Amino acid sequence: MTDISKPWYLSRTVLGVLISVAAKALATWGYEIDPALQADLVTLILHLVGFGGDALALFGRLRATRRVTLGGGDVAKGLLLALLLGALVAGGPVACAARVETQSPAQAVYALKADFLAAQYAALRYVESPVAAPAAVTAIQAAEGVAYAALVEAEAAAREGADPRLPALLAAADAAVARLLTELAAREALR
Amino acid sequence: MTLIGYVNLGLHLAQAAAAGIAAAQEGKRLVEQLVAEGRDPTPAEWQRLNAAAADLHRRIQQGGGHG
Repeated sequence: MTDISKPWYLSRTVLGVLISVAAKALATWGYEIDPALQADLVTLILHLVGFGGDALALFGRLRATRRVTLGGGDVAKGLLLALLLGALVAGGPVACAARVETQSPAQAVYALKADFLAAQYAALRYVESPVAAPAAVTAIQAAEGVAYAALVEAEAAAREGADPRLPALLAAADAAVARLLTELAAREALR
Repeated sequence: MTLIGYVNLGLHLAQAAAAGIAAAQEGKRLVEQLVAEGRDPTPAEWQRLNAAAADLHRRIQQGGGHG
């Protein structure tokens, strides 16, 4: 993906050149930095910049939303567990919004889609990460594609109102979102 | 993997979690609001959610890029 508005400090090429120049300068003083370490340093800087932005955004969200108190903490803990420890593999879908007791099929699909959106954010982060393994990216893209299509179908049926396929479509969409979350959790845990 | 490689992996995991958590909190808040008001999502609310999901779907399927 080409982003012409990207600042210089987010450019792997620019950072690579800067690190390379610094490594050459250090070499004159007897400090050798091999190319692999230089590449790791570039990745580290990109992560630190990205993580700083995300942390600020999350902090701002927590400060700005009065309703995010204990519930928000539970959501955060649940998703962290799902992403970092692979809890979904054993425990089923972490449907944060879908765990709210809904009153209609439309609300249920909407909740599932909201959870899917959260999973998509994590998936995008993974896919765009410089440390993502190609096989993992392919698996996550496949799971995301299936979930996306299933949710489109479930939404159409829910908004239609009287579609007899609705329960089956909802179950399929739920399973597809769970599969994506499981894929994310498993990949993260296994890497 | 070098020490810096492990640090990179840890930061990557934290980054992915932070992005998902922020979105999850917002989604939960919206659903709770629908339930509290006892109504289905409006076309505009569907549209907002779908536009965000479609954009992320496109970017995920494009595979991102590192430039």
